[in-house]
Amino acid sequence: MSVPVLDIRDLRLAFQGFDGRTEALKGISLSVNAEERVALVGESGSGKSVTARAVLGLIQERRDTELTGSIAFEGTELARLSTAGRRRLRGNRISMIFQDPVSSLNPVYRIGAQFLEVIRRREPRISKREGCARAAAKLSEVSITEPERVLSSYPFQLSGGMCQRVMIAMALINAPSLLIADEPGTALDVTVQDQTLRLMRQLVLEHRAAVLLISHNLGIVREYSDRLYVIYRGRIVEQGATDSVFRDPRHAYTRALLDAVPRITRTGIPVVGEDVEAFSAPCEIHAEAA
Amino acid sequence: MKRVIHIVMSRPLSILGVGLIALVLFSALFADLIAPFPEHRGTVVDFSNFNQPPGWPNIMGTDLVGRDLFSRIIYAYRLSLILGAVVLALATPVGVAVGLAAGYLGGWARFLLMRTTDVFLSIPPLVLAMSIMGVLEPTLINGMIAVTAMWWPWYARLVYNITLAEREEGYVLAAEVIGASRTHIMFREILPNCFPAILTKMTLDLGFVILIASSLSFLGLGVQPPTPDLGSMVAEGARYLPDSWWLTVFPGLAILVAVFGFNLLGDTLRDILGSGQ
Amino acid sequence: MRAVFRLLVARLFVSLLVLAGVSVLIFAIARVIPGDPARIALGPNATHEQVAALRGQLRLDESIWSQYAWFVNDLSRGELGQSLYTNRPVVKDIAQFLPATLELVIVAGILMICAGLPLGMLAAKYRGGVIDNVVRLLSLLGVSAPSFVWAVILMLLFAFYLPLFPIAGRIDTAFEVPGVTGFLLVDSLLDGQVAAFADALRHIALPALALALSGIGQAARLTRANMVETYDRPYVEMARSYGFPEWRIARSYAFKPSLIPSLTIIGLDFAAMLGNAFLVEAIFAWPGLSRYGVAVILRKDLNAIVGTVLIISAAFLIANLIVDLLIALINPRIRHSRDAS
Repeated sequence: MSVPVLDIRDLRLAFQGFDGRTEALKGISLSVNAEERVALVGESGSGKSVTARAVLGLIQERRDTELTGSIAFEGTELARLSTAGRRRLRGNRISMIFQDPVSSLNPVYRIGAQFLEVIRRREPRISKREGCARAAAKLSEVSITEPERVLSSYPFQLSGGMCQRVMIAMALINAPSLLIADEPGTALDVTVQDQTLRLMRQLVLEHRAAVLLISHNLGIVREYSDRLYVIYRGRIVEQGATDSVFRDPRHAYTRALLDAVPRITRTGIPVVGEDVEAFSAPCEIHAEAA
Repeated sequence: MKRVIHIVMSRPLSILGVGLIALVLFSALFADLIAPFPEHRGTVVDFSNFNQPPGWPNIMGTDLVGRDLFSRIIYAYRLSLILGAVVLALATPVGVAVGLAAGYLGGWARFLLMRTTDVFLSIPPLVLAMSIMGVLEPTLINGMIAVTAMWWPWYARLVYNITLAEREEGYVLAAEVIGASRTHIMFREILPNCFPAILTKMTLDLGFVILIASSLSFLGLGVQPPTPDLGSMVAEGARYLPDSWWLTVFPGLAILVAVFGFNLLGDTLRDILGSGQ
Repeated sequence: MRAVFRLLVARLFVSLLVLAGVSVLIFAIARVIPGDPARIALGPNATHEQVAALRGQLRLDESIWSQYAWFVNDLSRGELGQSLYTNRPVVKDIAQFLPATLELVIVAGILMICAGLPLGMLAAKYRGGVIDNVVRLLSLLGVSAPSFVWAVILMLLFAFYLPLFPIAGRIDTAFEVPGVTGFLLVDSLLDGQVAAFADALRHIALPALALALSGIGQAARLTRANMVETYDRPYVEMARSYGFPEWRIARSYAFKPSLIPSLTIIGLDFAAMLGNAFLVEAIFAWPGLSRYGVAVILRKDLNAIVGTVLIISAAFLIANLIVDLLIALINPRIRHSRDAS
């Protein structure tokens, strides 16, 4: 295979806070190949969202952080790019879908205007009319039946599912090679979330984009990823093909995580234990299955 | 407590605020000991030493009848602080009661109370106090009444907004379910949640009450001479600008120092108590 | 747009109600004076007959309800009664003095918005940095002194020690500007007198700045606080993830939505300016409502007090209506809501 779309090596990140230094990432390595769908699974606070923001180059612009290690996007080392260079990648080559679609859209602008702004990231000189036409076309791809009406609406006039589709369309309109989905649709109800995720999967296939799916929801991960990394307290504890990990979880934390999924046959919701010693065991790597 | 010290010490401006207020409070409390000429707060006349620029022994100069400006400013601080404390002690309970009742009871009580509040709020603050002072005799007590009348609506509105949000909270519902009385819920359940915001506002307001009171007396509608008052000192001195600049500049700066100190303190308090309002 | 119109009509109605409330309040304050207003107005040397005549003229012998009814009756005909101080109709007095005050307050309001909002925006954009701290200190200083103190300080600095601006008045007596709107800045331009306009501008600069300083501080603090809060919203992160330029994010994603809560308070600051104008006018000998207002208050001139307060409150309510309209124009939620409440 050629160069991976995303290659992270030994990424370490520390925040300088009130109470001194906090290490958020303690050496993360992961890679996403072209057109591959990779999941990063972990509980909240494990460092998965921070990893996504580092890939986008958003963490690098903060002054109170220390970032070491390497993030390479399509073979280019992000640290070697200028701030402006990293910004050029965003929205063009890499785009991101957020947790809460409604509050992730600017409340005081129409959807059309926000679309236009995204399209102009790639083609600054595109006319308003052509941009809107392109946005409308993309909206019909996410099964929106009245694209014109949606484009002239404000976010608060649309349902959560509708906003989620708008976000997906927006994320894909510039044909990025990597799509980061941070807990997509967690703020929506389950059926709507499922619908939009299916749409996303289908569109990503059509666009031949790679996906980095960030989630705590094992059901979603199992359904929508080819390969996964389990992250616990800033460390990758298990990695491998999704099927293989679900069939044969090797690391103590992964097993605890799988056990914590409430099943109908059981009573009550089990809780993942706090800092069990076994969770700090080294990373389990599943061999690449044929 | 450790957090409080951390917040105060990590900000130079907070330290400055605490320092300024300590200075103002100290000089007001011990005015008799600090003021070099305590008798100058009254109708002393010393024409041999009138209208002197800052020097020794009158470090801020003397006024037109020879009184020591520094001594008079210190006594004016005492008066301002008493006035501010009394106004807030009167305005806060009234406003809080109105806000709680309007917010929790709703219905006609809300309509009546909040519309009345709106009426008070739609007269520019100073103008309302002026017109009340206009019909009353300009004395210290009447000044307090006038400023109180313009101040309570702000507390009513603040507490009303908090109450509206809090009455939807689970703990209020829980109290209702077990059959607690309305007064109990208002004063025992909701009111404690308003305290951080009220306390912050009171600290900030102590400065602003001093500011408004000095504005009234500047217009001749407040405390009357010979009682030393910062506002009337500025008004009197303004006629002798620019030559006798100290007559206006020092009392003016004295207002600035006190109000600035209370503002810094209020800001710090807001950070410590973490109230958004 | 229809929603905006509906909202405006609703607010106008509420404002009229509030104004009616203000009239009741002010009327009550004015009539609950201890002592006989007629006696106070005429002084201790007036005869019994003179006082009785004035009481009759003011209808002081009728019940308070009937007095209020007469007052409302006069008001509906655009009358506010006779001033005991100037012996002229109160409406005429106010019409003469109000434009100067309004001009001062409007210029100060413009200063407040043009300086306060950008300062707050800068502080929020570079929060935690040097600019933020400088703006915080300056704006806190601004709100910490009454406007008459700023007036004195500005006057000493920029009219006496550095004689850049005139000390008092609205315009040099050498200029003859025909009164059309009563706003000298407007009238001089309407008449094509550029020199007069420049002179009026020089005269208004210091008083307007003194009046605006606390508003500037207030607006800057508020803008900063609301913008910092907006910076934490998900749509700002989304904008960053799309690589929009920082200045664009500051303007369209942090500033514009944060303006909605800021504007309400800016309206209130405007109200405070209408009152504080009294203080600044006294220092700069500005021929506005101030001297008249203080004079009628000291003389217990009832009709004039009620009229002045009523007019100032009306001006404030109009300013608030404008603020409501601006908010409605910025906030699509109001503009496109079905029911305007």
